[in-house]
Amino acid sequence: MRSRGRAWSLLFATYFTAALVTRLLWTGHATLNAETLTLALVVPAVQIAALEALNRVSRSPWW
Amino acid sequence: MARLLSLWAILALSLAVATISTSVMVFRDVDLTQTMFFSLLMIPTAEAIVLAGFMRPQAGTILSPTTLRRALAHPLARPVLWIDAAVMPAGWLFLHHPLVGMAAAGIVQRRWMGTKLIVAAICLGIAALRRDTRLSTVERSALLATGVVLAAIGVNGFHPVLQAAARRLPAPLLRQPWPFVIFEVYAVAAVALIGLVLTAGRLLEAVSSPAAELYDSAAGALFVLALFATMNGFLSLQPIHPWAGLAVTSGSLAGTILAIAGILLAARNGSS
Repeated sequence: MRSRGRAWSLLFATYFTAALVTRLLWTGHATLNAETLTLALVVPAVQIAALEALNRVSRSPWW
Repeated sequence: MARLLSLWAILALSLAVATISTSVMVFRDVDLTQTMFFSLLMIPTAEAIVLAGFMRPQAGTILSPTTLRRALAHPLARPVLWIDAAVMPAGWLFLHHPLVGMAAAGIVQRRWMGTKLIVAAICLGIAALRRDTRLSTVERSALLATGVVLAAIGVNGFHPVLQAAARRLPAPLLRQPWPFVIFEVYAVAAVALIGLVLTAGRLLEAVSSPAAELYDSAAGALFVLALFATMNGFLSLQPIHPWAGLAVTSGSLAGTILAIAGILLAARNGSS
């Protein structure tokens, strides 16, 4: 079992990196505008909420 | 593999909902470009791999060394691997060649992938029908259904069926842009196919443990195939570089794994 806090930090970091790399590969530039930053905060938070909710109802939780 | 794929599904679904609703509510605009579509498929893949590896490091083991050795050592598996070693690199070397090119989803590549899937289907059918296989009628039927689907992909009959199914969808669904309709039909088919292969793998545990493990790995390769095929299907019905080549490569890899699993199943002596 590993720390949940670390897992969620890792999820935020992975989302942010993957989103920037995708944009960089596709468009040739990755700008840190308001939309990118808002999504980088909101999307992993929603994903964490979904994972936590599912973990509670799951018979064999991940952690 | 089932857990990794379910983790991906949760992450992908929540990512799509969060991205689209935030864009609509805050920025009054939804990005429907290729970049966004690629992000919706690939970001959850990266997240699922990182999270699964962090939370359960043993989950990163795709295939045990014992199973790998057993699969590679089988005399009937070697010809499959030799042909793979010739055909797949040739496809990437002569990328746009109409016969072997990966970018063109060349006929040789598709036929070779299909042949492996047909071998896998026949072996799975034999395993399901053998008397000494300790499976219930429902379990045998599930294995046969998986075999039929694999054979359908093998004879190239899946694509026309999906196209026809997409055209016959209810009118409200057909109001969407056509690439979205294709994407949804392919996504449902991919979920059904991966679900069947995972179920077959679980059922084969009672028959042959290495074959079951190979089926589990094949589900991973089929998932990668589904990602790239969906990306290609979203953009065009024609092969698009690099998605078609990546889809054919992962499909061929899945075919190899399933064919070798089938060989191990067919060659077993009564018990595993």
